[in-house]
Amino acid sequence: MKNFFRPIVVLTVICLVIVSLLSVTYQVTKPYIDAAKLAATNKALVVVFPGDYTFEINDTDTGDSRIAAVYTAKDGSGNVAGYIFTVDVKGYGGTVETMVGVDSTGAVSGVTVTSQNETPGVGAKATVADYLSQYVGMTTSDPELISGATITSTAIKNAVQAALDANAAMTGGTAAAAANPEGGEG
Amino acid sequence: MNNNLKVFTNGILKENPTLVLVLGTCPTIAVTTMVSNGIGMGIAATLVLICSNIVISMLHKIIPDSVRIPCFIVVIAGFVTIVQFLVQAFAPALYDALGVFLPLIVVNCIILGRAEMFASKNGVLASALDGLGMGIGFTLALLVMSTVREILGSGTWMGFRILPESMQPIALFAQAPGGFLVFGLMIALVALITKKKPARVGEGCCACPFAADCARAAEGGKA
Repeated sequence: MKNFFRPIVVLTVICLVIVSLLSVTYQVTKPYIDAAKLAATNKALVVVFPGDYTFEINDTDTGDSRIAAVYTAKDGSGNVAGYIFTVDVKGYGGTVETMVGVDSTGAVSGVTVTSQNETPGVGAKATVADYLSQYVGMTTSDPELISGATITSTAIKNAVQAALDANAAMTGGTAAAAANPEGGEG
Repeated sequence: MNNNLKVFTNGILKENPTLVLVLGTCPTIAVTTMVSNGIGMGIAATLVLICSNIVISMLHKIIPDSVRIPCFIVVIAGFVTIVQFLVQAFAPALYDALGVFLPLIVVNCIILGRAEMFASKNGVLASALDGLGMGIGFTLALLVMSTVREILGSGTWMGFRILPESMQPIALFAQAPGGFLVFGLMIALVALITKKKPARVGEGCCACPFAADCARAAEGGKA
């Protein structure tokens, strides 16, 4: 009987010890992991919406399944200065997560790619800041695409257009933003 | 002590886990597009390797033979997850870059291979040194490979520009086929230095952690 139970007992004890070690590590590192995630989001928000603004999560349903999250940018006096959209589009190597800022005039304030798995040296060229800076100021998504990186650059073009459409629907649809178009300058 | 030193240096060149034992090839090809990723992967795997070697060498007398593989895997998976939490908390950029290959250290053959081949037959100190040596060997192999691939494939090293902007980098080296090319050439180079023929399929069986339960190995290990 000893040979029957021993493997079960040993494996169970090892599993229990490892599981308790894991839960301790999880508890200890969780605040740091959350802080790191928050810092990454805030960094990206400042890149796509430069200036001295505070950002709040906006739970408006845009009706576009590609838009994962919406943030509202507010200036010092609490006026809405624009919206930032997190858009997930399909690239060549999987999902390309982009963040697009749109200011109160309906123009793009900045675009950044927060997560991508495109081919290094080919598609990935369409995800760097140098390339994405051409979108700043556009009111319709009409960028120069990169030859050889058609799928990735088109994916980002679509992401920006989705953000612009959602912004138009939101600012056209909500009375507060429509009635106060100068809010950004205030 | 001499013997321990030999255990430690074995992993660096003579029994280099990737270039001589040819274990852990998948993460090697996948992460070596950038030097920073290669080093990060190497250090993470080294940490897991040392910890799992120490724990398994301590436990090998208690663990019954019939459940040794599940026991090893639970220990390894536990350490990998701990390392994953730590990297995610304190080096989020590295966490994003390594992606799925960080949790996949669990199935990196180097770690189970060393647990089965070395740690389950040797003392704690020797196993720790073996883990350290193998880990450094793995990290060095990744470092050299990613240096070649990043300079040729992207024109940079650790993100700093090496080749002039006007020179078009050879994109092939940043992709998997270039990885295999560099990998093959490095195996040949190490074989030349150590004057040892690379392991053939037939000889590979004795190094395989599953040799004891494998029908092919029982038949003499000839493929």
